[in-house]
Amino acid sequence: MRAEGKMSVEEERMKVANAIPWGLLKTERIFLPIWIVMFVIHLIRLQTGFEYGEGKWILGIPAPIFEAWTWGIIFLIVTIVACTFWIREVRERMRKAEREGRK
Amino acid sequence: MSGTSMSVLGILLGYIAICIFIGWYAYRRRAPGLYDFYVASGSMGPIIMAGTIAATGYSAYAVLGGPGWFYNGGTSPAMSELPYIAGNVLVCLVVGSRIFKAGVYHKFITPADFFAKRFGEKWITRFVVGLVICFLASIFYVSAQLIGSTYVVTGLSGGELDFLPIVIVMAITLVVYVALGGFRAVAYTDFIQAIMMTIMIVGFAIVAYREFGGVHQLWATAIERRPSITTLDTGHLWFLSKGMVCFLGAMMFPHLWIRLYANRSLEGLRSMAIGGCVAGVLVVILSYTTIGAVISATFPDAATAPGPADQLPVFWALGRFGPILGAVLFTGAMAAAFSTADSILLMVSSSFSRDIFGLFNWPKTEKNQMAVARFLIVAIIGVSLIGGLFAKGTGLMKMVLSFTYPGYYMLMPITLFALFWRRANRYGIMAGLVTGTITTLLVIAKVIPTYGTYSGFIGIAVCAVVFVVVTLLTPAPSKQQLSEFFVEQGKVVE
Repeated sequence: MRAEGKMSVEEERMKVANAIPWGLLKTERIFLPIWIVMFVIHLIRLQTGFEYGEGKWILGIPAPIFEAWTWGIIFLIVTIVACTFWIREVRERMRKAEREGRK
Repeated sequence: MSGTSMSVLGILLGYIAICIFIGWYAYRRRAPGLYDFYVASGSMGPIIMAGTIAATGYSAYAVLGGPGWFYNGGTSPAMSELPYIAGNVLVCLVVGSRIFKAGVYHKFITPADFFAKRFGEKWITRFVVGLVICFLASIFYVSAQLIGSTYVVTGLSGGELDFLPIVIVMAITLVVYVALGGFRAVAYTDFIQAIMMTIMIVGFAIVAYREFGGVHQLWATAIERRPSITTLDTGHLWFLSKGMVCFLGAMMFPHLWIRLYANRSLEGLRSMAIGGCVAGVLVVILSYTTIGAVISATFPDAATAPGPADQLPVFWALGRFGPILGAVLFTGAMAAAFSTADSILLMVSSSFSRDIFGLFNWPKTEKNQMAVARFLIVAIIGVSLIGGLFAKGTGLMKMVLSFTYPGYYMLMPITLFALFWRRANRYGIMAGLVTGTITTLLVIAKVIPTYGTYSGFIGIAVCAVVFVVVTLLTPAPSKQQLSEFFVEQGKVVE
């Protein structure tokens, strides 16, 4: 027998699925434009080939390599921030649905 | 047989034993039915999800091919990888969470299930998405991973171990653990393989920086000896077009897509987004560029290097660590190839079983469905092994592989339309998929020029434009059909 309060896999999945809307969440509406602008800037840099001219170094690393690493780290940081806000909003929707269900 | 070959063989056998044990463990935890076999009944937790996304997304290419490309093509592999990292969070959360939601409500197993349900059209959708993209375009992908992992083993042994027996042993191992444990076995082994890959990449980078006396010293030596590594070997328009496609294309790989169906929790979706991103950043910084710099500094002249560019990391590790430690380290590369091969093998099997046999409602009973699913795994590995061995030097394999990624990316526009444009209809997807596929094949066959763009870009653009035009010229989907797909609040449609 399942411990009281512990959800089955199916219940947990259903609860999460119900909390995700088919349309966009508030977090997604805020992050999408930021993300797209950031990616367009990145695309422009890709298009120029991360060019700096001969022999340019940043913090002991060749400039194009440094820029490639920096973009990776920037995307990772923004991913973590976006995930934090996204999961918080979906959790809030789950709690709200639970409260309404009890009523 | 030398001590090196004996130690390589011992490590290989140990690794195989672990994989088979995991397959048996997963078999004991199974539940009846295809849904459990192919997507573990959606029961995978967040830690396993992070590991399986990282390991499946990055094959042996991440530790061998990528640094090899850097050696020959400068910053190209890093620039090519960044759009995947950028798009990962969007695809996992914005698109992936809705695919997960639809999967929970409708118990989907394959990507074609999703499109067939959304558009109420099964024949063209299952034929193009299931048979052409997921099955035909992917079968040589299994061969490539199998052959790649065998090259790692034979390379480590200095050519003493023969290719054919090793590749057969590898194929049998894959069959045994995938057929026994299905998705669970694949996900559990992926998790271990992700750890092995990480240890390998991080260990390699730390030792390399110590060996050369620091970050600056390594890069200064590499650039002095091989100045071409900060330039590009491909045109800027190619990067621009590939970047646009890859930005939203990462999760469209069918073997990654089915992981969304296997996910259990909200945290699992977050793990997939962050896990994929962390793996990408590690690969770009520590593998493509750092390992690339190490081999550039050590073997500056390609003409006198001991082997082709993508095998140079193995030669460096053997020279630096000796045969036993070098072999242990490069088990990570073998694991990387295995983790991608097993995932694609399972996906190809599910596509054939569900999208092709499913069209004819065959087999009827659950027991027979499971028997056919397991038989398909044996048959597919046999076909991909024999096909791969015969096609290796003919160019056929390269041609089919040229379609694999563009084919996967074609799922990107139709997925966005399916989820966020209610007007999108069955005529649009049929016309878009057929014209997109034909255009991509014509581009690969060089009938249509690429104009300097990524080879899949034109086909994807044609697919998207035709989809929109045909949808607008034909009747909108009925409200009933839409409400059957866009289910609200857990009204599960069986």
